[in-house]
Amino acid sequence: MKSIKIILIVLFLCQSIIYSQNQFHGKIIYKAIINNSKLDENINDKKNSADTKYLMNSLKTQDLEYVLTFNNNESLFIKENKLVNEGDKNIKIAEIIVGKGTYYYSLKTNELLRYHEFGGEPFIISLIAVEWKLSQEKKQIGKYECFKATAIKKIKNKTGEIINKSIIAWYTPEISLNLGPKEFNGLPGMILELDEGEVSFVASKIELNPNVVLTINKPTKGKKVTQGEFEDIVKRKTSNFSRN
Amino acid sequence: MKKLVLSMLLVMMAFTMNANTIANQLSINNDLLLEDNPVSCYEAADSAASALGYIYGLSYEQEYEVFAFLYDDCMANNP
Repeated sequence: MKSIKIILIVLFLCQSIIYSQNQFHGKIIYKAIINNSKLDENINDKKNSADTKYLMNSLKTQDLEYVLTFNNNESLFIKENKLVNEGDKNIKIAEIIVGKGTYYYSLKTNELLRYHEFGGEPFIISLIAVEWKLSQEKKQIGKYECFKATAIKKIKNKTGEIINKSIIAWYTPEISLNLGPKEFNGLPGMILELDEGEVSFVASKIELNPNVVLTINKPTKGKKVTQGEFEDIVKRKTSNFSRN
Repeated sequence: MKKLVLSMLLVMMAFTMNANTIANQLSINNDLLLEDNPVSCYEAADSAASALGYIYGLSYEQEYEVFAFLYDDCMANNP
């Protein structure tokens, strides 16, 4: 009888250890980097005014940080609240280029949302995840072995032209949650590096299972729309701008 | 009776003058708002937003946000 009790206790402890190893919660800090190669090509273009050139030059040095907070069920991707000079227009423009908004993803329901205020009105935009192509190419990011995956993201620009943006993600199966920056997730592991072409996100700090409770608040306040509906609303609200 | 007519005329004149002054003021403000500053601010903001939109492959929404921010900033700094 005593030996059965001991076996049961050992089994319980083993199960708890295995369970806790599979449970992840934590946060990852990503540095957003605005790539300069195209900027350098265009900065001396005679078409651009002195003001535009100055603006372009100052964008090179912007340092923005974003936080992905997650647990086994959901994640939230948001800009890190740092004290910045409110008058610094370059930071604000860099934020727009990197992409404004809060991204929420539910691993249980695959619900992918972006909360964004446009023209003073809050919106909850439901997004469709990109389709990934997995590759065997790998590299080391910190202590994690990462694999490469690629995807195409379609963007409609000012002239209504659809731009295909190549996305490259580096994910690690060692953190077995299919999450990542912005709306990019669904890979067999955590994305630690993401290249959107002109903007990259690189994990600079990974905190797994910290002893603090991390809260993830799903965005609920705002008009619920699809990406297409949101684009139509933006177009309607900005008819003066789109006339060109 | 004469006093009453005179005072009514005075009141009407005052109203007319006031209206003209307001109209002139509005026209000055409109000139400022719709001709001088906004065109240059509009063009500067639009040109910068277009350049950044091209370089970074910005979406319509992003390009508009860059434009709106630069335009507001220009207007605030060029009263």
